[in-house]
Amino acid sequence: MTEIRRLWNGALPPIPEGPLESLRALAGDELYEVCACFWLFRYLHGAEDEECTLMGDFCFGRFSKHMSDLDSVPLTDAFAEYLSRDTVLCRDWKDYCDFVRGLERII
Amino acid sequence: MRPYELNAALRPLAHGLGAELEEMSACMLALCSGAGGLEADLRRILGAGGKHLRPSLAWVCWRLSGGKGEILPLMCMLELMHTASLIHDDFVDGAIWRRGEETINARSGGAAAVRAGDYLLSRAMTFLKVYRGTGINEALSQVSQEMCRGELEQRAGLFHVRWMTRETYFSRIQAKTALLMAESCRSGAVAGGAGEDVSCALREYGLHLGMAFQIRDDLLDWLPDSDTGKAPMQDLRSGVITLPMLIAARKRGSELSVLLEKRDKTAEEVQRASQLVLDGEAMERTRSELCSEGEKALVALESLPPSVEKSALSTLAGTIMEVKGNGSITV
Repeated sequence: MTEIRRLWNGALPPIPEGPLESLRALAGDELYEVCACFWLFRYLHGAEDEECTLMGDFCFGRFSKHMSDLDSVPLTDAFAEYLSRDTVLCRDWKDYCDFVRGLERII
Repeated sequence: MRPYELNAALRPLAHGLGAELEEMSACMLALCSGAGGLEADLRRILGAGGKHLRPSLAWVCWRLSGGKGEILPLMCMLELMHTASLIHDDFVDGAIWRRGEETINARSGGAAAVRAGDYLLSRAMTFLKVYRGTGINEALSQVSQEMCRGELEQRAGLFHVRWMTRETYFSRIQAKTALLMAESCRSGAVAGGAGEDVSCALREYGLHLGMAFQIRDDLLDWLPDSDTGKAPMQDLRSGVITLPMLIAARKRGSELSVLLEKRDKTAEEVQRASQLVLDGEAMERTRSELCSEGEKALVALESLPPSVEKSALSTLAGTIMEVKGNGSITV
């Protein structure tokens, strides 16, 4: 998240601190970074804006980095499945929170 | 589905590589079946053909290294990552055509384009488990970040020529283009069973090949008969400062810099700027930089023993260096 905050620029909407704090409580320390980066990636990509798309891609890169650090096949499969459905069905914040709550059972 | 366009340099390997590319294409089209409303656009773009250079490099380096492990998942990951980035780039750049097809953003809107790219990323993730413990996944995620950083820096530098240097240009094209080619070569070698010496040499080859590839692309943007599939001087119009412009601006002084930094140029201003870039040594010096990178790619291969694969990689670097005055390339 440090790197994301460093690159976040004035052309983007404000960083959504409230939802990120909620994610910290839901995900716990071990999963916070990966869940936060993934959510910012999808949040920015929902804006249909060029600048947001590029920054969202960067957040996906950070998410990938944290996933490779965790090195969990079930976790990777869970996020891959969630992302594929999210791109088709456009799930909401509540769905994501439910998904994050369920991750602890997976790792 | 249109056939892929196998680079002429790789034709000696067409039998094995061709079969693998066909299997990769079939696999990627099959992945679209879960894409709901995105499926039609994805099939259209994935079926439009293309050179598949990154998975081809991975395959050649895998074969050169002994061809021991699995290569198809890596080829799919690389092509999915690359295609996702192209779909997103087309939306960011407002591009209308890609590989002879309407872009997803042109046909179905920006939101669909972004979601389609993300869907491909979700499918790329499913192949990660194959390469656990090899370092390939970690390297690809690093490359993904660097590619985005390169795009962000390019966007921040649009229409800004005066603060740009040769070093910032090279840093940008390394991030945007060369690192993925480098990793395509390195990870192909690792997947094939290569030791560190061979995988490092092939990474170095891929890095300089990628730099040469991008410099050539930036050069061809200025040549009216070049077969890039894009309108000429697209970079000039969109504010992307490339090497020919940078070199020319340093020599031509403020007139060219002012023109390059002007948004919404008139047709006369585009004409004048292009004249200032084309008349002079900028094109020749850019060709020189292109050849320099191509030579570095060839040097990187020198430590490897002779093989059909090594010969193909050498030929590929050679063809990327060849740009005729009228822009046609001998491939």
